[in-house]
Amino acid sequence: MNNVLDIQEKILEIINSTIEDEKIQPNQADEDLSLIGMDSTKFIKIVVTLEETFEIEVPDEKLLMTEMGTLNKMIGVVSTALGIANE
Amino acid sequence: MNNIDVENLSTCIIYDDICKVLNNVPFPCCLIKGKVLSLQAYNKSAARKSGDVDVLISRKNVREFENILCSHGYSCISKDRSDRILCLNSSHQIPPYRKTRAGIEIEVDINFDIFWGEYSGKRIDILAFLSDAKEIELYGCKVKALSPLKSMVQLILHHYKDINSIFLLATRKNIKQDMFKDLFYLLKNNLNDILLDRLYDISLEYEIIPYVYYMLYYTGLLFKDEILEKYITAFKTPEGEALLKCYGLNEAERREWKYDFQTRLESENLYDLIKDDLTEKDLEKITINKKVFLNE
Repeated sequence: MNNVLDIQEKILEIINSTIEDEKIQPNQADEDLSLIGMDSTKFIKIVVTLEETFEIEVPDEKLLMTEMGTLNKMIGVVSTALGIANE
Repeated sequence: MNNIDVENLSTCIIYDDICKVLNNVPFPCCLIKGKVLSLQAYNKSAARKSGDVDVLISRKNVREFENILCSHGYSCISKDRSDRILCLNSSHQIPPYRKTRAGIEIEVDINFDIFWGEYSGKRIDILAFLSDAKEIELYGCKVKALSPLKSMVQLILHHYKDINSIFLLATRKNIKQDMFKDLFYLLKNNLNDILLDRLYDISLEYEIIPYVYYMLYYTGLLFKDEILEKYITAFKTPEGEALLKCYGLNEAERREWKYDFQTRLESENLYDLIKDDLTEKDLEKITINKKVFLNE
């Protein structure tokens, strides 16, 4: 898994399997996930799964729903942690 | 050796240890609450009893501070990554660090915010908040403390959270009346620093006027005082008045009390006063917080 598209696809899968109420699509990358069912408990599950899947540790400054509240923001955090440019 | 001597000796050991930790900290950091507050509010470090030591640092320095604590023999009570994520997203502190020295358990609470996790308003830049911290002497050790004005801000927000958090209302037996006493004496003992205009200006800047009013109002019910009355009047707003009859820490969870302040104050089991209002979401949050902060 070494490009942003692969990362996006995997993150989307993780989000959609955690937030069961509603599925998001790639074209909703800036949609506020808290509006479609991501509460603090689901946020924790998503972050833990992201860290396990991508073998990364999300930095403390990013461990906030405001910092990782959309698909695009999550892609940014994961890409940075993996050292991949997110264009 | 009597109980006071033993307590004093224990506290000396605790602060000697903490001082060694803080001497290695290369970023802004200060002690809050506990003995520092005791000194600022009552001029005596032993006036308030406190078990743990609270440190305030910026969120971006948390990891480095934890490493420093570990190098001094401390370890975190929780090794669970999800606990840490929960704290950094939804709280103002991470799970405590502990160490035992000479048979005395030392507990350090790392605070990275002075608001509660549920707060959705403008956040305070903690590095800027710490910028004018001053060195004081405590049990023979030099430590940094907030200015009395900023201690007042921190204390107001902390006590507001303590009285309004659903988790704390559900798990603590009663409202500690000493919270109001601390506020009253911190103000009265530092009137030259906590001038009404200065407190108002900083509260306006931090957008916390309703919370300041809430705490001053209830303090004023317990401590009748002309100066305090002036502060209460200056901070009165419709938003602040609306908070007086509510609990819960944000709009989503805020609800009206079914009991008056006196009943809440005298209650020996606050849970009984709120249990009928609790939702499934509240109960889930209480359970998670119990695991993280109370190790239950």
